[in-house]
Amino acid sequence: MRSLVLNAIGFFVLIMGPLETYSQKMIEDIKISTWYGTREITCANFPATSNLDFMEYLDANSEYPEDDYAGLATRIKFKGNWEADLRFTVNSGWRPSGFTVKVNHFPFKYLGLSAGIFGYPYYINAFDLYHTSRDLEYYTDIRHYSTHKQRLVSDIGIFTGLVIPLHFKFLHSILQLNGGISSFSKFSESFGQKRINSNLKRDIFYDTKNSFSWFLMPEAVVYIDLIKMKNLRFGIQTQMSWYTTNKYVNYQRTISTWTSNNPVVEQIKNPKHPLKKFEFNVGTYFRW
Amino acid sequence: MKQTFKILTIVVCVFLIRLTLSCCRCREELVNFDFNTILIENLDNSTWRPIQAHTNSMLSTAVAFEIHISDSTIREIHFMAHQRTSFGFPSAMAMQPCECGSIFELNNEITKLAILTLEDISPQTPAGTDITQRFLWGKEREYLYQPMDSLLVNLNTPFIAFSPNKSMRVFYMDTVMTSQAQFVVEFQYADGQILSDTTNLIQITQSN
Repeated sequence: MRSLVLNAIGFFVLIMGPLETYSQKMIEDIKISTWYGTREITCANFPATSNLDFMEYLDANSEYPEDDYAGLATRIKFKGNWEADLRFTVNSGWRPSGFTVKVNHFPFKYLGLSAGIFGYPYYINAFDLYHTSRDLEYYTDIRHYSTHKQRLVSDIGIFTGLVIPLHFKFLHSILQLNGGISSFSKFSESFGQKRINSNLKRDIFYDTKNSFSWFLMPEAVVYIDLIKMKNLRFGIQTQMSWYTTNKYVNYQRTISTWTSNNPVVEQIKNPKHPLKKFEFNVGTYFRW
Repeated sequence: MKQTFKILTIVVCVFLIRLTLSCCRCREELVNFDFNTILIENLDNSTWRPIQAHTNSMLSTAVAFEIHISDSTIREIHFMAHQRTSFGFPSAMAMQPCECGSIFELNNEITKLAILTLEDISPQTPAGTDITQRFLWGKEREYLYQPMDSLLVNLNTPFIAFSPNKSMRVFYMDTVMTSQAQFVVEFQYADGQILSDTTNLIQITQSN
């Protein structure tokens, strides 16, 4: 993942040359920024039910700041009041921890429209504990010999919203109110159980479905031009965003006992969990 | 420089052709046989995987055996395949010698596999009952069990090996309700011959 970030930086450096050539024709402003910040994710938990609810094992609600992360973004302002915004983030282990691609259009001076797509990875941890704690007469998973299951899922969403740009000399702010729809990526998990002191074996197979949910995501960016040299500006910025939605993971559960003939197939619908993600970061930028 | 590069390319290609074609190729010979030996061992399936049991006691819900059948008239057959030769550098060849097995095919098809109980094992299952369908077998690389009908297909399918022997693990689905059990396993050939063996007398411990 480190190489991906370095490649992205290299890409940005490479495009600076050709961009410069076309800048006079099409591009009004280019801003490249880096930042460091923290995220906090909270997810409401519910009492256990007779069905495995993967949301109960989402990596959230930590006592310490959920995730330190670093980011890199480029924003290109085109003539005709169009902007393109591309952001990547990585966590403290240089693992990718999200991306956002956004297009803004400003038909009015103080009001614009945005549309974009984002992705953010979540870990679902130790969901084998559900079966370990309930199926006491079984070995939980002898097929995979695993004692701590972990799964990485991506929350992919598309959004649109209103953008309010405010500029006063060297002080700038962008307020956005985005809303859209997102879903966790689909995945499959299985547990190969064997009853203790018995020949009985069963296979429990979970096949999740798309779980579309609406979300709101207000954002605020404040950046200050500190140094100006000809067309080049250097400054500092801070960004905040709030992501709020109700997430759920429904699935088809197939239980095969003894043999794979005559499996029991059920469609399971799980409750929606309020999920909130708050991000805050500070950083620096260049723009020209 | 261009010429050097061309020459080097040709030399490398020749080397690679020699290396690729030097991998061995087995031409397995067909060997006809019949299973004439059977051995039944006890399995302990009380924990997370079945292991060979060295006693004649089993839990009432974990009755399981491993059945070994073979043709004792045929020993292991190994063929050494020759490495292919081709033009090119003689040092470019596969380092490992190639050991090839044979294709073993039954002379007589096995038409029936039967497991009968020699003791009463429950009120519904008195001595002499054919309980084959109450057993399942464990196929390699499959997690769940397979029905016994598929075991017949497996036994009658030609296979590549060094020797004509097969092992299969069979597991009883029901609970043995009595204090002891004994079973006979019979393989019946198309020509009417029967290969059979009896398990040891198993002392049954009732599971909780």
